Amino acid sequence: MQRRRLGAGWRTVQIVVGVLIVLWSLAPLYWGLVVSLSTPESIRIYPVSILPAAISGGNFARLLNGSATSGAFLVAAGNSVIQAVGSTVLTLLLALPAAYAFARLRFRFAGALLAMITLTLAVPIYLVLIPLFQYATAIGQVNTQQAVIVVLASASLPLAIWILRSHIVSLPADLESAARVDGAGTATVLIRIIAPLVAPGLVAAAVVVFLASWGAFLIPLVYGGSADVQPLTVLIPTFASKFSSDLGLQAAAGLLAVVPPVALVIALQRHLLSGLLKGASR
Amino acid sequence: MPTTRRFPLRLGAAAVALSLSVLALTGCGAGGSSGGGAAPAKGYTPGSLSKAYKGQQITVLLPPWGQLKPALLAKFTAATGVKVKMQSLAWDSIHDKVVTTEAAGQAPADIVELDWTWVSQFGKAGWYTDLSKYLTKQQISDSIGADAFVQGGKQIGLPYTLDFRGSTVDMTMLKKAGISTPPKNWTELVSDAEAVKSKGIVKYPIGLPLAVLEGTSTPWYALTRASGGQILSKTGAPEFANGPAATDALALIHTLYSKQLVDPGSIGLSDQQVGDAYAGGANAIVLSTGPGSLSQFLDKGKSKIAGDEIVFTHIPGEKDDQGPTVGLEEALSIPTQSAHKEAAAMFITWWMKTPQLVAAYKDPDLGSMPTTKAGLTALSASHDLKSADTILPMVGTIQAVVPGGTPTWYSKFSTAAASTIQSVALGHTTPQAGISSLTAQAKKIAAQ
Amino acid sequence: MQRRSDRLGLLLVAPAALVIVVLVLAPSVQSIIGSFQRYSLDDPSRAFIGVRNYLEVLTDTGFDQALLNTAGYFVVITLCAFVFGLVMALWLQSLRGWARAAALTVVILPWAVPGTVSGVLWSFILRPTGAGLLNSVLRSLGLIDSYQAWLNMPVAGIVAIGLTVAWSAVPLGVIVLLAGLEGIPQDIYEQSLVDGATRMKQFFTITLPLLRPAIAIVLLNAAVLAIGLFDQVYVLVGLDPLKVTMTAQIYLYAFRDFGFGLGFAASVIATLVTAAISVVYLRGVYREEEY
Repeated sequence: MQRRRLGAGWRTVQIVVGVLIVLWSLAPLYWGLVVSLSTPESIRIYPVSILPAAISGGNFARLLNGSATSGAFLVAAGNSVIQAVGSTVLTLLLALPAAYAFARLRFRFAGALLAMITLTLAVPIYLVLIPLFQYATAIGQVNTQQAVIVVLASASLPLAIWILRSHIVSLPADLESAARVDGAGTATVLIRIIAPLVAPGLVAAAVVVFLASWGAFLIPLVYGGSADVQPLTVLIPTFASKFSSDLGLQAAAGLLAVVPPVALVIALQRHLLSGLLKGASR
Repeated sequence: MPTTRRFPLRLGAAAVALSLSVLALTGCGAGGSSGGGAAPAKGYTPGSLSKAYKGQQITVLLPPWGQLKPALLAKFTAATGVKVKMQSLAWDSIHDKVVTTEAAGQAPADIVELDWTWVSQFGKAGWYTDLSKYLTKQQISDSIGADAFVQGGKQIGLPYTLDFRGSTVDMTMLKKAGISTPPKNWTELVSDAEAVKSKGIVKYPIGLPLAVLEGTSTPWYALTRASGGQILSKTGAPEFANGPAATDALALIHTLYSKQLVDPGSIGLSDQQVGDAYAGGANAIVLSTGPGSLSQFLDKGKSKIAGDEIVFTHIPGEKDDQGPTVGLEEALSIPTQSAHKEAAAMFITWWMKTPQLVAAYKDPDLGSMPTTKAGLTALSASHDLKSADTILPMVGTIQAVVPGGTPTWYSKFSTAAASTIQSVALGHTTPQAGISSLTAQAKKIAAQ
Repeated sequence: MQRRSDRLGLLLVAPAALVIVVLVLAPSVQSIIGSFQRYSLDDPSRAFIGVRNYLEVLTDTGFDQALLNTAGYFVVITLCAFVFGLVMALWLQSLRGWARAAALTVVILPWAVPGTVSGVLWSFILRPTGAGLLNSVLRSLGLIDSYQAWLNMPVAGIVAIGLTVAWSAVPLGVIVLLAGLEGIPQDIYEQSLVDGATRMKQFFTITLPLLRPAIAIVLLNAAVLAIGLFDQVYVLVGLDPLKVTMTAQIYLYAFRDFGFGLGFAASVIATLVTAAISVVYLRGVYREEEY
């Protein structure tokens, strides 16, 4: 990108704004880290020090070796992974064919169906919570991983369809036509041609769904509240005891819960951004 | 863009057709609780432990402070052959989980947490089994505070942790200010706090939460009850409007706040945060807290005041003579939809035996006070009960906050009360005006 | 380029549509029906009572306060998402190479933090005592003389909670706005430079108008977040009547008072408000500019 060189004045603005932006983005995470590394007394001193007074990994150790929660933390971490990955895969499997049809095919009810799917973005979870729970109990699927996964997927599906659809729309149609001339069926076209070409879109949609599912609270609470199904977001609020809330333990658990999504965002940053940027630009 | 011009009509038609078919499938208006058997199965003897239900598994849904350890649970399984699965959720989350599952006609677990504030709502809905059919009369009369869990003549819960309100006083700090006994009335409370403040021992001698939360309402209830006043009558009428105690209690809170005997930041503090600050040595007195907090304050790893002389005692009343102590208990209950009521009742029977109650108190993660005289006696005999001299006499004076059971609209009332208390503390409202506005709100809430 | 194919199209869309119908639409319809019924635990009759639930909700002082609070969050979150988002996007655009890649990573990190965790992290900063970073810093600098419980003040509380929500909402806005900025053809700037335009003038005459679609998306996202706000408020201040949102009020009706009919009516109102705002934004702001 060729632009004018920045003058000294603008350069200063750029640096000052940059420092503020970095502070804003990282301060809560940094402070959470300090709290998690502090001993209970050291964070009760007022005013607190910006640097950790005495570094202690005790809170992390108590979580990871299971002594703080009799192993519940590790089980919950596993559940978070199962539910987030499960709902991401399910969402993409449902969304890709639909997105392809909406982008490439003209069929009856296409407009109505797309509008219906989009409209559900505005439905608050409280509207569906109780009836949905009745369905789940009617088929005996409460407190199961699959119940949580399916409900999470239904919540993310509209957005995933939108992201994928805008990617497919932007693909040149020639490749597909060429494949069809060679006699390829729709399934082959979808798997062999469309999927690889919209890889950035798939990555972007996958990350968006994963983050939403990983951070979900109410859905796993209601459809999978029992100990062997609950994810980290449901477990962490239980660390507040009746007469005190163990800040260090809450902070440590919160930060550990942030590691997988943050790692994912950092690892996939380039694909994620190109995918979302394309999706957003149309 | 594909053509979307005609969508509203078609969408409408499609939605109606689909919803009709789904409603036909699920049955609109289904989900009422038909209620399982109200009486125990033949062959079950109330209050007994036997192997009659060997091989069954019961689930127990309690907050973190009710989680018995696997080693202890193994003893129950050894005695009865019934396996126990403990489930832990945050206290608020349990409430939501119970409402959702029960509204859908399901049992949240075989044994579920029942807080005193939920009794009337959940009880009226018919969600819980009458335990008097599953336990003996003796077991229920032995249980301290069981009367708070009676709804419509049914005993729907049995307390598992004895919780009531008293003051925690750091006598080491008071003695530094030349005071040798805990304050017995409000005059002493204010003068003791002023002495501690003027000596510079701590800046804010009294810990008192003032955020708009349940933990802000209970100190006011406790101060009012300790001065001979009442909060709500048996019929749920605003009894606090009659007599001076409730108004005076609000005035006291305002005095403590305006003299900066309470941290001005308290308007943002929950009872938990006040407990944290106290463990950090920030105050000399927590005006209203539970006996269970002692284990936290005396834990060397968590508390800076663990070495101090700490007493848990009556909340000071306006005058010297003590009124009743407010009980805020949590109970075990059995949902009517549970398929293992007999095994669940056996679990309650087992828990209420002295060895288990003692173990739950000694577990530093729980610190639950026993709910029977026998349990308390065993603890004090072995010198394990902290602050036993003052706690044991208080136990005899415990009463429910609302004598006839909490009304269904309690949570609304509690929020209104907390907001009034905060506004009086800040001086935005006078105590008299606060009482009259709260009276009007209480009547309106009850009428809805 | 679109091919006409009814059967194939419906076949491909069917699984996704089925999931939406069964898991979202059908329960919604059931709840909407419930919003016209006397639907509470005290009264299992489920008699139809017309719009009485709606009237009761709309005249309830609790709901009116919640509406007012939600409007407050809406303003704070919208302003932050738009202003912070635009400043960050412009800043990112001014960077090159590795600096830009690193800065992008930092800026989008808050997006990866689950809502309940971000509530916990911000509570550590905003607490009046014990670990309250902001109070400690301001007090050390001598800017305040006693600890402030911002979260519990009427207006400051709304602003503070709005900021914590904006923290997780801004990154998505930055991505959308950055995409919009990158999409503006360079030659338009060069042409206006020839015409003697200043940077400021360029920003208002070229950048902002051409960003309209991206801005609409950012505003819409902020509106949906403000109306659906619940978890963070609950973690930070509980159910303080001066802080609760429309969504929290729905929760109170249904889960604390067992007035499911009222809760459903309030949900329908919230859905309609969201839909109305979306239409305004998409009609009014989302307009492709010709260039």
